[in-house]
Amino acid sequence: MLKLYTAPKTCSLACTIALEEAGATYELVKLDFPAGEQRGAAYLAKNPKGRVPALETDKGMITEVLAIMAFVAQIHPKAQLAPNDPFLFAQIQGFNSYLSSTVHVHHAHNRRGARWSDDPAVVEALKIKVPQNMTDCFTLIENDMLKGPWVMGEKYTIADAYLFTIAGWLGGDHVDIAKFPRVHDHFKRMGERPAVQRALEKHGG
Amino acid sequence: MLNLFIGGISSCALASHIALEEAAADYTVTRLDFKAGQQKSPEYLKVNPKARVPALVTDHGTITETPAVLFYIGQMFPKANLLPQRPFDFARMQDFNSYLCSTVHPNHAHGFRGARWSDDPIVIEGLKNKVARNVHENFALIQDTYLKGPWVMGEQFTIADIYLYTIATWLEHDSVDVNTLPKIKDHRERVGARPAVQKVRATYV
Repeated sequence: MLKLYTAPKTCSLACTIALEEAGATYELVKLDFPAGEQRGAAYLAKNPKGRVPALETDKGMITEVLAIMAFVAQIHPKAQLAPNDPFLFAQIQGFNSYLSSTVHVHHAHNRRGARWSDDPAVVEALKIKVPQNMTDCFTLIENDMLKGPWVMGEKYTIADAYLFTIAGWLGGDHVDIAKFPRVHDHFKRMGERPAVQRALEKHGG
Repeated sequence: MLNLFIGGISSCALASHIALEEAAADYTVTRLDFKAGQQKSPEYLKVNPKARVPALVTDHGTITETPAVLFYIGQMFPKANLLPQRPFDFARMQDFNSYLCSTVHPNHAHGFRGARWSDDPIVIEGLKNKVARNVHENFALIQDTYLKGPWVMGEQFTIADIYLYTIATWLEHDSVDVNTLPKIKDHRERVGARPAVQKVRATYV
């Protein structure tokens, strides 16, 4: 039985979408972030990084969004959420890696600046460049990465779940998603998918 | 014929370069002069609009982001046996590579690429203060929870070892005493002693 550890309004939404799109049988556990449950002893014993998402499988734990989503796609081949072709799979992983190591990191400087500095003045100052950085990233996504109608072109894949999740953060980062018409259109179409709606409901946004 | 765009020896593109050599691939490298800002030249932006390395040019197109490039090399050269075969093991390896890419490398980058996240020189300087502690914490976690031994995935040498080695070569630069991380030090020495790694390193001199 798959068990996904999540928290509302975090990137674990992407994995929830992937599981719903795959028609997977899984249990969703919501951690209480305001209470710091992710840093408590019980959760750290499962995931010493104290983060979500984490996917518990009968073989052990998998963390990191791109690894979890690729695994879900791989063990649910009928859902065709990731291609077998090495080049196409590498394109998906390249896109997902850009989201996790560049875009999400920029976003994190808004509220999680304390990761990189203990100085309150620095932590506060790190918020300033977030809108510009997010704008630059989404300009690249809009012009160079989003093939259309889906990230990879004609085929819907796990990359779409991840783009939708991060695009949902733009408003909170003071960036108007309407500046990126193709990303905005993708966001709206994602919101119409039954699996995405189920995921949003279960995940809590 | 594969062509890999690289930077200097302290760029993360070293991992992809080593992987190509370990895979006994037919390949060429094009080295960009970062001091001269060559990665931002119009010619290179056509190759990779993100202005970063690595970028692997293949017959089908270009792959970017280290985890994706490493995967592709592993998949295209199966005789080199650089990827785990079972889905869970493959997911654990991707989990590890994603952690290096989106947590460890950004922590390192706050040391001298702080300008990505702030235009304020005082903030940029302040971002250097937590690098050593963050990187040490990351490597302690790798040592305690990820590195099965003798290789990351246990008995099989994989692209994860090449990537860990690459980032571990930055430890001294990040003011981390590698003697406090004995398993990391040992892993780094063993990977460094491999003929393919030595051959690649010699090309940077």
